[in-house]
Parts: sequence; C-alpha cells; structure tokens
Amino acid sequence: MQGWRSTLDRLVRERGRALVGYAYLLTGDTREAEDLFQDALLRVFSRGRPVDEIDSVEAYVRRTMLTTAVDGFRRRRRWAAVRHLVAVPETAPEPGPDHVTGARLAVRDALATLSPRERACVVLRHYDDLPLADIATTLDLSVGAVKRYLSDAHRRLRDQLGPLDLEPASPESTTVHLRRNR
Amino acid sequence: MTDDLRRALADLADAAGTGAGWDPRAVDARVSRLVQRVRRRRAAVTATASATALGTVGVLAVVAAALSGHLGTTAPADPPPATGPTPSQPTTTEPTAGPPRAPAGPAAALFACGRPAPESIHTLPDQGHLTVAPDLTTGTWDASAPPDLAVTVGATGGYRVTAEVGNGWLALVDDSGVVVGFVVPDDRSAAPLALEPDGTQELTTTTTAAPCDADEPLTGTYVAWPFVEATEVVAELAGSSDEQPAVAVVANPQQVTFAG
Repeated sequence: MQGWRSTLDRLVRERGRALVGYAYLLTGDTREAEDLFQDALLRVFSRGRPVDEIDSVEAYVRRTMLTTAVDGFRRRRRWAAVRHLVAVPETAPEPGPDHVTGARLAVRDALATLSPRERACVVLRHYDDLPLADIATTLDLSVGAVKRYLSDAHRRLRDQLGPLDLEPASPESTTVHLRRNR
Repeated sequence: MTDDLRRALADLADAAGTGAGWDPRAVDARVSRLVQRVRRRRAAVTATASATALGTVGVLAVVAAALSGHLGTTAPADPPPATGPTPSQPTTTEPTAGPPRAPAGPAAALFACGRPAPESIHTLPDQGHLTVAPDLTTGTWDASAPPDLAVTVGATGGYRVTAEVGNGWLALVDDSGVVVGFVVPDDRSAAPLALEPDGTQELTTTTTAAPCDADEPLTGTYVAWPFVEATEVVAELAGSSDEQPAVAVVANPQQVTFAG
C-alpha cells in the first residue's frame, strides 16, 4: 500500500471516529455526518494534491467538512428529503439512546436551532477553541459577522439550555471594535 | 444548564463518533469502499484531463491544417507514428492515437479503471467461440518497459471463425479486486483472422504499462486478466452461422509482479 491509499487508510482508522463526531456537531444527524465525512474524504483525496502528511490532511478534511456543511447545507437537506424515493435504504445505524441521550440530546437539539453558519461558528469557537479572526478566515467571513453569528447563537443556546458559562467578549472582538471606531 | 459548552460539544462529538461501525471488520469495509470511490473519481478526473488534452490537440491540428491550406481538401494528414503490422497480420483498422489507459471496445464493459473485476472466468459472457491463451513472461516486470505480450487466439467447439482481432491486453487488478491499470498493446490495430476448427493464431506486440492513477505507479503483485477484443465475429458450424459484432475474449487470470 502506498501514497494516498495508505494515508486514507490511516486517517480513517486513527482519526475516523473523531472526524465523524466533528461532522455530527456540524450536522446533528448521524447519517448526514457520515455522508459529510465521506464526501470530504472524496474531495480531499480525489484532487491529486499531496496527501502524505496525516495531520495536514486531517485539518484539510475538517475544513472541507466545515465548508460543505455551511455552503451545501440547503442542497443536502433537499436531497435528504427525497433520498428515500431514489436510494436503497442504508444499513448504518441511527443514533440510538445508547449514544446520544439525556444532556447530549438537549445539546444536540439546541444546536439544531442554529443556522449552519451559527453552528459552524459555535463549533470553531467552543470546540476547536479558535480566536475570532481565525474563525473569520476559515469561514471566509468578516470578524464582525462572526461576532454577530456567535452572539445570536449564544442567545439561542441559552434559550434552550439555560445559562451558559460563556465568555461575553473576547480580546479580539474588542480590538476590532476599537479599530472600526477610529 | 451550566455545563461548559466546550465539554458538552466534546462529549456529543465523542458519543456520535463511537456510535456506528468502527469495529475492525467494519472499518476494513469502510476503507475499501472509500478507496474504490476515490480511485473511480481520480480515474474520471484523469480521463477528463486526457480527453481535454486530446481535444486541444484536435483543435490545434485543425488550426494547423487550416493555416497550411489543407482544410477542405482531400490531402491526408500525416499519419501518427505507430508500429506497423507484421506481414502475416495486415492492418484493417487505423491505430488509435496516443496510448489509452483502458480499452474502448467491448472489453470496456468488463474492465474499467476503479471498477471491480469479474469474479471468475465463469461469470463472463459468451466469447464468440473464440479462446485466448497468453504466454506471459515469468519473473518480475519493469513497469517502465514491460515485456512483449504474446497471446494465442483459437477457435473452439468445432466452429470455423473469422474475425477482426486486436492484440492482447492485461487488466491489472489489485488485492481489493479493483482494476488499477492495464498492460496496453503498443500496436492496437486489428488483424483479420480466419481460424479453422480448433485452429490457432499467435499475436505478439510490444506493450506499455499504464496505471489508472498516474500518482499510483504499478508496483507489487497484481492479478492480470488477459484479453483481446474481436469484432465482426462470424462462427460457422454445419451450415449455420453465429455472428457477433464485438466480443471480448478473456483468459483465466494470472499473477504478474512489477518491480518497486
């Protein structure tokens, strides 16, 4: 085994669970998470660019999943609505009570109230621990837009989950705000 | 709920990631499916790029012809350099320009880049009362200069067979059962054969090894399916005839090894 095939094999075996979990945060649906994960792998490994370094490939796959989840969300939802009419049933198990229960269900349902961009911002901010400027770069948004998405998301999450232990403002956002006022 | 959102997200991601299909056998199947899908897509990208390149060459040829005053005349273009026919095998079909990565005739339905190969010789369709037997060079092959490929085409079942038969190919299949390349005959012309009952004819050509994915060179051991493509096949027996416009004639697979 060699080249991209070896990297793909390692990536799925060593990082697959984490990547599907990440995709689940972005989609809130096990089947969509699997689809998103596999679509991202196909995109990354079909482009013919070097895919030898597993860490950089994993980062690229995550970024591809983010972009797809945000940009392709509506298309995917439309497809999901009609998929049962044209596709054979898949055998992948649905998320059962053993896996997503109780408080997890509450978080999942709260995330489901967010728009794709709000959701991506929340994942990048609170799961990947990225500063606002990096989130803006990743999602090709302005820092101000990221702040707005996060603010709206936090409000909805609080509505669903109660008070959250969130930072009200970050140093980056303050800096940007001051610069804009000058 | 006052739990830290970060921990809640990590917990949710962890639970979702362990929820489905991560036992070793399931992962093997998952990887195998992904490898096949990536191969198909990469092969498709390569084919599209090749077609685009050929299209560009075609356009350039037309432009060149127009500039040199040949457009609209009957003057033939310069023939492409190709291996000429042997005296015993007169050419009846113009050689295809450029080395294809995969067959374009009837064998394309059986062997295509990134697609699973037939499970066994018994699952293959009727071969027009023709057989093919390869004489493969033993030992390790050099992918940059594979050995000549000799195949013997024969008539079976007491039939007298006439057909236009091309030189031999090998479809190379890796350990996941997917076609990953071909050993392509350099001379892709077809010769008219007239085979008496149980008669045979040997066809030999120099070859080129062509991986489906240029980024994945041919190294190691592969299952090689030998085949020839035949057109205008007419098989006669006791006054009746069986005609087929095109068939792929396939032999039992063998193993070939390319040096790393």
